[in-house]
Amino acid sequence: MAEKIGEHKLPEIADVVVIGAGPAGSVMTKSFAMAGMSVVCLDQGDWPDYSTSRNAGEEYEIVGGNEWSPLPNVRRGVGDYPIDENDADISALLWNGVGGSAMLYAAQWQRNMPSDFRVRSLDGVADDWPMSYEELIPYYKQAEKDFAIAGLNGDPAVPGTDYPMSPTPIGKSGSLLAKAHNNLGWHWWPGANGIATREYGRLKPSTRRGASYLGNGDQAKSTVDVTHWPDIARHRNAYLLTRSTVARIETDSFGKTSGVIYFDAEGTERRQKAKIVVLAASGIGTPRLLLMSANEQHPDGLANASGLVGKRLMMHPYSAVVGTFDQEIGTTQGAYGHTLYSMEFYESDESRGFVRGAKWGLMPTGGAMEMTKSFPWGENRDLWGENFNSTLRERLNHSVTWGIIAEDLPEETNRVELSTDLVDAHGLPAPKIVYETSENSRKLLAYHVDRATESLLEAGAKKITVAPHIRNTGWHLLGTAKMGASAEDSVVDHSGRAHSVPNLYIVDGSTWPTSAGVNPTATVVAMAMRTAEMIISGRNS
Amino acid sequence: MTRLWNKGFREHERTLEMTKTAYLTQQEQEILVRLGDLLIPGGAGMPKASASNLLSGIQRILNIRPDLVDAATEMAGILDGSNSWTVEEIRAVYPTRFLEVAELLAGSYFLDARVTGILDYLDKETIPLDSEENRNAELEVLVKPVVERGSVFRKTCS
Repeated sequence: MAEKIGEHKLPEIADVVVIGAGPAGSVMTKSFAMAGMSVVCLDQGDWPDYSTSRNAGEEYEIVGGNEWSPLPNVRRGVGDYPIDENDADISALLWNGVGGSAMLYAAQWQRNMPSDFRVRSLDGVADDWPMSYEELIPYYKQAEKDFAIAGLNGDPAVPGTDYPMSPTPIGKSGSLLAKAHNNLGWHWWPGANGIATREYGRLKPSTRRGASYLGNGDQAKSTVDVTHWPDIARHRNAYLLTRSTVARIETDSFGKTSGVIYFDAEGTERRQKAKIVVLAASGIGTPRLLLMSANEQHPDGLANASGLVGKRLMMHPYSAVVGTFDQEIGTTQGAYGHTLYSMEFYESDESRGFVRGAKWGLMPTGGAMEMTKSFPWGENRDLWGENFNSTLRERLNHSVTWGIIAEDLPEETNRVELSTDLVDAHGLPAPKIVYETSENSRKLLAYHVDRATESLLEAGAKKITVAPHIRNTGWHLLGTAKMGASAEDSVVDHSGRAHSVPNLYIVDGSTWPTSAGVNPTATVVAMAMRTAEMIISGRNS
Repeated sequence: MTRLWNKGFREHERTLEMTKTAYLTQQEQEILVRLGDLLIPGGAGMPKASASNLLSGIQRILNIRPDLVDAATEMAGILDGSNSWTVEEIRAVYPTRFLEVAELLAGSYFLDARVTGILDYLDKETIPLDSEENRNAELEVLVKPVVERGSVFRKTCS
């Protein structure tokens, strides 16, 4: 059943319709509700059912293969749509439902770096953003309070943090790598995570089961079903419609949006009129919906005068380097975020033969089942059979991973378009993604893999395993509705407002002109807060 | 031609697929146990698959992962009546099914408390956090050299 928050029937014309109840959509909905505006948030998925993630049970490690898979094509859950990925070398990973894809995030919280906003000026590639790091600082600070970030302030690589809680313990493995980086003279810092380390609002301190990745069964991870929606529910002017799939955004004769057409939980087509429509449907869902909303006025899709809707898809190619140690290093459990991160090789250096860089995040390798997986262990040719038990003992509790997030530069050939032959449960066209990892990204990752290997060897690792390039790493879906100053070469302006549809806003990662090389949630929600403030202050004035 | 994604939501599909577990015959179970020993023959102080509570584990996993039922029954049918398959042969001829059944068998093996006990694998027990003061004291010492090296980001003009 669809769930409605709010005690009265839906407004005939809402002040705002928000599409998507993930972090950005929930931030927007809460802001509008608190400002006294009527707001209807629609999500095609449902509330999460944590009983099925078995986070406290022995079967936890097995449920991620299906019902909690990050691949909608495998999971096929409520609200999921198929994705045609035949022409992509990385798969898109996402979650549909209240909480959005953060339902499956490791909760690694990382601000973009100042240089990420000035890529063209500093490195001569791609584009500058129409905003600066400094402009976002107040919103980052507010987001870090609202999203309960546990971290250590004072990192000389990330200026201006004000985390409300101390970080999760770095553990034996973190201590080893921290000392190694101190020996090498390389940057490292305790990881900031959206994982509470004390009672904080409705969040509970981490139990360190190492099981916070799938859902939020222990309520220690910062997900908006816990941090935001109970507050939103107190407002009589806010509504949440789950299992409600938006089919298209409508426009009027003046070129403004007038609301949305959606299928409700029973499959009935309905219309919700609105003065403003906000899209927060991910770097895949947002361009899909804009393209599905093509009409006579907008034959190439809504807000697509520039032709860039769906183009410039960036997915952060990812590498992992595993160090295996002789001694036990406590990596079967713990807070499943990043215990440390390093920005040592984040900034461009011409001598390396590529531009831009990557953040490294140190993560435990996990429990027993994780020791048998092809990621990060590769084909595991020697695992099964007579070596199984010895290999298991070699890896389990003895291994730790540097995860490397490569900055992915935008290319118009990497894109989201509508499939011509695949449709979802409502008969709506599925998105098709076309994506090829660039030469710059491959060089960048090769360089960083070599440095991460040095780091682990310095820490005392006896064996190094470099994860092979695999498809299932497209966690961060960015760039498909570019932000910029000009309607000719961007979809939205600096506030997230569509150049050609003045009451349509986009607030997910699709607006990013470049991808940075860090986990994007911090910046996505900071930008959403900024956009909400602009809309509300504009209305009041 | 339009390919329609089935309207069946997860809970509906699970109801349908749950019925498949009843069709794991005695013979299929025996073949899966033999395959378990081929993949997990024991050693390093640990039991072989058949010496763990494998069949109970298989049933538990198939109840929550009915998507693995087809792989289990198909692999049992392929291996039926022959003990001559090697791990490499199975893997080479049936790569996808191999990985699915390996996941099923390893997962079942790890559900045996004796196995996880030998591994000293805490298996999702809670680990209380140390006091904030103690945690911060350890970090202050460790980060001192990082702070002393100073800024590592490029400053920009707003």
